[in-house]
Amino acid sequence: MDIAQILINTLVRAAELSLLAIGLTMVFDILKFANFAHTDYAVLGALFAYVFNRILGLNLFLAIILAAFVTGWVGILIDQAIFKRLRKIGAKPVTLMITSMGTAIALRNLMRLIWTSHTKTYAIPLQKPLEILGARITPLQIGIIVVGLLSMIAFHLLLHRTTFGKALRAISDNSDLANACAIDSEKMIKRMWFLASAYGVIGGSMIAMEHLLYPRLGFDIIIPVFCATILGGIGNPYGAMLGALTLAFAENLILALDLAPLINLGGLFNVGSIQISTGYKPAISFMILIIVLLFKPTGILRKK
Amino acid sequence: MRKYALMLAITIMCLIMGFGVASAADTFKIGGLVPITGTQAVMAEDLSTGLKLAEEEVNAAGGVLGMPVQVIIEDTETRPAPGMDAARKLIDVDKVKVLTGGFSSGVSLPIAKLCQSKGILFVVGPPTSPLFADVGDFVFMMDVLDKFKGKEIVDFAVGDSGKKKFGLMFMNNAFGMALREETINNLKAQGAEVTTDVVYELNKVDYKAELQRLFAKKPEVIIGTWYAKEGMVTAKQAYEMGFLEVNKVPWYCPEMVSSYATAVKEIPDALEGVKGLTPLPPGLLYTEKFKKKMGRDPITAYAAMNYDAVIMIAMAANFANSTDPAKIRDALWKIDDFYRGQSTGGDKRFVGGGVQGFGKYERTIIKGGKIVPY
Repeated sequence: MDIAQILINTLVRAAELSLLAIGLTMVFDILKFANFAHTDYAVLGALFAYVFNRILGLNLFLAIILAAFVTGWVGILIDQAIFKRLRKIGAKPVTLMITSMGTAIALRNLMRLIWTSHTKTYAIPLQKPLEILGARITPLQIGIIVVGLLSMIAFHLLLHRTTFGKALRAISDNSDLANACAIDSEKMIKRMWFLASAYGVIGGSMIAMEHLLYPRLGFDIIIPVFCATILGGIGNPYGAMLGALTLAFAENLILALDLAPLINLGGLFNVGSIQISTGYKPAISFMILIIVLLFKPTGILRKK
Repeated sequence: MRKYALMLAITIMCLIMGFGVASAADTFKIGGLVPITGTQAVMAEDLSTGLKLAEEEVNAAGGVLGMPVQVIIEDTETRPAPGMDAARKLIDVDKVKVLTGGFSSGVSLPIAKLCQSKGILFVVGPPTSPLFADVGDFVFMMDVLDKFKGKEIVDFAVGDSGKKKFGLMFMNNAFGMALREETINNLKAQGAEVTTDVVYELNKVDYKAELQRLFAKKPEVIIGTWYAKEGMVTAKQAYEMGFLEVNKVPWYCPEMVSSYATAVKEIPDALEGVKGLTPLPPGLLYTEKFKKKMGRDPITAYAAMNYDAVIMIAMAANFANSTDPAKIRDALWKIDDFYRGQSTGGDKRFVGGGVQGFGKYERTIIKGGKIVPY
């Protein structure tokens, strides 16, 4: 078992997933509903970045920043057009959640209409891997880990060192009290949508850079993103990061494990190598989720 | 005045509806299943063109029993559930009695069972799972079965590489599992060892753990197959992980076109030297017609199977002097002897279970960003 390679694969996967999970958990924390369209916002942004990069010829880094900015506004617009109206009429979280599912389907099909369902790639040349401690990693993957780490530090600072972050935490704790303290909730919610969508775009673009980009990508990544969010404790951004890390590590480690020593009971039996079939990889996320929730129903970091 | 206007409107409506019914009854409809979206969408234009070229050709030759042929194309999304929805729509709404096309065995197999239960004829285009042969007498196939491909790829890989330790990577669906089984059986028959046997799920964005597993026990040769999207991701990740070094560990793929249709365009350098099987190029007649219509070369020979399917259905219906699917089915067994097709070498004779018994595949290699004969 190549631990160094497992750790590298884990870090790359966790960096991608956690940026998506942060946005999802933020929306849940403030508005108390699971936004099923979140990963589709991320893909929409990644497709904007594709247009800026491949069609307009912009540098990829700038293209992603610009796409995050544009998609941030898309997030606000969708909220103003749909979710805000539902909030105003006192719609329950389950109504908002189902509406988000509809929004996701509409967005996915709109993207398919505009960009077709063909796969797309950014203008990044194929990269030869570097060898670190016997494990292989490409410069792009190093970049993904660094950007993921910096984005998380920036998020922490934003949440704890800015008035916006404090206001957001106040609304999360008690929105009525926050309103009574002259915090403009709706204004903060707008900013929250911008931030959640923009972070999603960075995560989505990183997945697209490392793998592929196509309109249905959001649907293909929604399960691990939701698992990471719930695993860490839905509503807790640090939980989302930890959840992503746990999930990525478990996926990579369990598939690499050889269960023969366990089965052989120290030489009692003589069974050859036994590994979990890679066909069960999608089930691993759920198994880990169920095991953690059995012992900690609120997720790893959520206290209430 | 209003009364007259209403009467006029009703009359016009009746005329339109009557015309619609008349024209529907005078058309011989064939349902065409194509993966317009999803993991195999890259081939959709070719596959649809194959169907439409045959439709045009049959109509130019007088159609079926004097009626024009209409191929109604529906999207399978390369997934079983939408594929079934598309088939049900064609059967229940469009009232087609004959279906063709389909791309993945995993998508087309449940459709074949539906057709058999309803007495609808399904002339399957490119799918190759041997399970189709057991569905029933309303199912025919236009491509050779996986067992032919399984043997052919093993003969190629063992003979060409001269090595005996194999790592396998196949998708978890009807097509992948059937081909995997045939590959394993043939490897064992040749005295080769399967060191790792990786089964992967479709529609994932990360296959690093699978690749890690594939190479964990140091295989000397890789045999695997993918769909276009998964082929692209796997090739890219294998290259970046240092696993796609064919001089050290050669890769053989039983389905070069469907696996690498996207990757060979996007990352040709990564795939340089990968070898495998490709259906024989379509016949010259088909290729010329395709080029004239589309202004480019066909990207896949599989579309010619759809073309052959429509032509054979039309021939069988004319031969049977009927559009009844059971009679077309019986006629297919008679016309296959003298039809010279445009796919898999041209011999389209059916053998037991309605499968193709004489098709051929070509040994190919990726060189300079192209799949060329080896």
